Amino acid sequence: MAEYDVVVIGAGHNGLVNANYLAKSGLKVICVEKNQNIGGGCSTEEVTLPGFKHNLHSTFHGWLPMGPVYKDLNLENYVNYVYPPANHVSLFDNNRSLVVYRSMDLVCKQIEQFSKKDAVTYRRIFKSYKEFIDTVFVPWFFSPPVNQSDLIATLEKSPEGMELYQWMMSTPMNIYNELFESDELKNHLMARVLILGMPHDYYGSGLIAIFAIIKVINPICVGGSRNLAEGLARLLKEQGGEVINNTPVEKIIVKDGAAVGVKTAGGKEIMAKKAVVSNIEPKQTMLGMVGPDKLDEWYVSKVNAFKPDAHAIFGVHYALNDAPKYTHAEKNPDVNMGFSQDIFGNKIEDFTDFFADVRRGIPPRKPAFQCCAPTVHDPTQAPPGKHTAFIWQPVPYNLRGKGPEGWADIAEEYADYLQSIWQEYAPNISGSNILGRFVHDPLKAMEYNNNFIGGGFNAGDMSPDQMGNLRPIVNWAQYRTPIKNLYMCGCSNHPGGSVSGSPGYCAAGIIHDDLGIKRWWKGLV
Amino acid sequence: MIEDEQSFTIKVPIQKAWDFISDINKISSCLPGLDKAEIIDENTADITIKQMMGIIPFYVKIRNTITERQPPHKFVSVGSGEHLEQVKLTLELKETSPSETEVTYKMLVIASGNVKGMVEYMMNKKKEEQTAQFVAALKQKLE
Ligand SMILES: Cc1cc2nc3c(=O)[nH]c(=O)nc-3n(C[C@H](O)[C@H](O)[C@H](O)COP(=O)(O)OP(=O)(O)OC[C@H]3O[C@@H](n4cnc5c(N)ncnc54)[C@H](O)[C@@H]3O)c2cc1C
Repeated sequence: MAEYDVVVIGAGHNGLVNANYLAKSGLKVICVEKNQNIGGGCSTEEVTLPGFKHNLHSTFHGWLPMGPVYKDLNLENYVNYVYPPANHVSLFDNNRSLVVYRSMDLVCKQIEQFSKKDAVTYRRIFKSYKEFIDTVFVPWFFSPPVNQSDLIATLEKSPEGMELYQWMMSTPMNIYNELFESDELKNHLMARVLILGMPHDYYGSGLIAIFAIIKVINPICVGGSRNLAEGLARLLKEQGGEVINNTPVEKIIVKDGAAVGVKTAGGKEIMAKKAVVSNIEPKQTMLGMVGPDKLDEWYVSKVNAFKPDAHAIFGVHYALNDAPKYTHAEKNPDVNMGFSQDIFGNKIEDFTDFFADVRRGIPPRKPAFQCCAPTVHDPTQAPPGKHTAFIWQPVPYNLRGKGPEGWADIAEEYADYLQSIWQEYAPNISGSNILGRFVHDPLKAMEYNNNFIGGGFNAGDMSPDQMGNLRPIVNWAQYRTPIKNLYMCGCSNHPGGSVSGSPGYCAAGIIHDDLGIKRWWKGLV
Repeated sequence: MIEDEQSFTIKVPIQKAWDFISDINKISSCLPGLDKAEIIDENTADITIKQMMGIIPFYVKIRNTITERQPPHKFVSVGSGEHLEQVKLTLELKETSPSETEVTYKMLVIASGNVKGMVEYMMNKKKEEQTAQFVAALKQKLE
C-alpha cells in the first residue's frame, strides 16, 4: 500500500499547482489523474491527424501571468508563451470589423470607425478603473474569498465608489448599454465577457464588464496548452512528487471523519497521512467519492444544489493546409493577425436572442462563436507550414426533450452549419484546405473531462450566488470540506474557471495554515 | 508585512526639523492622502487617509500614538485601524551641517483579518508613491 503525505485527485493545472506548492514545503505528494494525458482543461490532443495539436479546452492563458503562481514556481523555466500582436477581432456584416490591440491608441482608432464618442468613453473607463482592477480586483482574484461586505463598505464611502457598486450589482449588458452607443463596440465587449465565462444578463456580475475593457491579453502556450500541465508535472517530479495517469479515483477513504487516502477504480489504495485534495467539482468529490452517508443532510442538499455551467461549449477542431483568410482583412489588414476572430452577430441584443435558444435547450441558429488559429502565432502546434484552427459556440448541454445524449445525433450536422457560416467570413475554410475535422460536442467534452459539469468552462456556474465566499458551497468556501483533511482546489472554488492557478494556489495556502507549515512563498506582494 | 525606507536631506537645522516632526499636528499634515486629522492629545490622533485606486477613493481610519520621542533624533508613532494591525512610522534625524538634516523615514504596515493579503498588496503597490508624497510634503512645509 502506497503512502504519501498528500494525495491530489486530478492533474488539471490547479491540482498540479497545488501539488507543487505543497511539495516545495517538503511534503511527499502524488497527483492521481484519470485520463491518459494530464492537464484537464489544459488539454492538447492530436484528434484530427498526427502532428496537428488541438487544444480541446483552454487556448489563452491570460490570467496566469497576472497572478503569483507563474513567478513563485519559476514557470518561465518550464513553459513558454507567445503573445499575438492583436487580441480579439470582432467580425460584423458588410465587411466591418474591430481589432483590439494592446495599445490603447490603436484600440481607440478602431472604435472611432463606429463612434468617436465611444472611443473617448472607452479611454476614460480604462484610465479611471485600471488601477482599481490592478490593485483591488486582481488581488481579490488571487486570494481566498473575502467577505464581500468589506469591499462594499469601502465603496459605499464615496460617490465614485457607489457608482462602481451599482455597476457591480448590474449586468454586463446594462453597463455597456449605459456607457456606449455603437452596436459594434457593445457586441464586441459582450463577446469578450462571454469568452471570460459569463453570460450577458447575470445581475451582480457587472465588474466583469469593466474588467473586460481593462485586461485583454491572450498568451498562447507554445506547443499547446497541455505543455503548461507537462511543465508543472516536470517541476513536481523535480521536487520529489509523483504524477500517475490512467488512474481514476473512485473513493476517498474516510476514517473517523477524516480523509486518509483514496481508492482507485483498479482497487488500489493510496494513503495520505496529511491531506487529500480534490481537483474535481463538489458533486463528484463529495457525493461520489466521499458518499452522502458520511455527510450531514444540509451539506448534501447544498452540494446537490450546486449548479452546473449555464451553457456548454460546442467545439469544432480543424487540421488545415492554410490558415483561415478573412475577407474582412481587405479593409482591416490585422484581422488575420488577431488571437481570435469572433462572430457574435452585430449588436448586443443578439446575445439575448442567442441565449434564449440556449436556455430553451435549442442549439442556437444565430452564430455566436469564437474562431482561433493558434498556429498563426505558434507554428509548433502543427506540421511545418500547416495549421490548426477551431471554432467554439456556446450551446445548451441538455437538448430539449433529448438531454445531452441528443448531441450524438446532431453534432456533425450542427458542425456543418457552423462551418458554413464561418466560410462566409473565411472562404478558404472549405474543400481541400480542410485536412481533418473533429467535433467536440458537449457529450464528448464531458466524457473527456467529467469535471466540466454541464459542458462549460467553469465546473459550476459563475452566477453571483456561486461566486466569492459562496463558491462552491455557502459556509464552505475556503477550500475546506466537512471531512477533516479533505480539501478542494479546482475551479469550482473561488475565483472560478480559467487558467489562473488561483484555486490551486489559494488552497495550498489554507492547507499550509491547517498543517501548521510556514508558507515558503511571499504571497501576493 | 510592508516595509519602506528612504533617507533624504532637508535644508533646515536639526532642531527646527525636530520641532516640526515631533508635533503630532504638524507631522500628521504631511501624511500622504491625509483627509482628516483629529488630535486627541499631544501623543494621539485619529487620522483618516484617503487612498485613490484610480478614481475610487479608499478611506482608512487609523488611531496613531506617538510611542517614542528622543529629541532631536528619533520619533516613532504606532497606529492601528480597520484591517490594519499595525502602522509604524519611524523618523530618525541626523545633523549633516548646521543648516542641513538627514531624515531616515521607515514605514511598516501589517494588515490583518480576512483581507490581509489584499490590503498589503494595495499598500505595496502604493508605497513608493506614498513615500515620495511624504518627503515632498515635509520639504515643502519645512524648507
Ligand atoms: C472549451 C473550453 C475552452 C476554454 N478556454 C479557456 C481559455 O482559453 N482560457 C482560460 O483561461 N480558460 C479557458 N477555459 C476554462 C479552463 O480550461 C478551466 O477553467 C480550467 O482548465 C480548469 O482547471 P482545473 O485544474 O480547475 O480543472 P480541470 O482542468 O478540469 O482538472 C480536473 C482534472 O481531474 C481529472 N479527473 C476527473 N475525475 C477524476 C477522477 N475520478 N480521478 C482522477 N482524476 C480525475 C480530469 O481528467 C482533469 O484532468 C475553457 C474551458 C473550456 C471547457
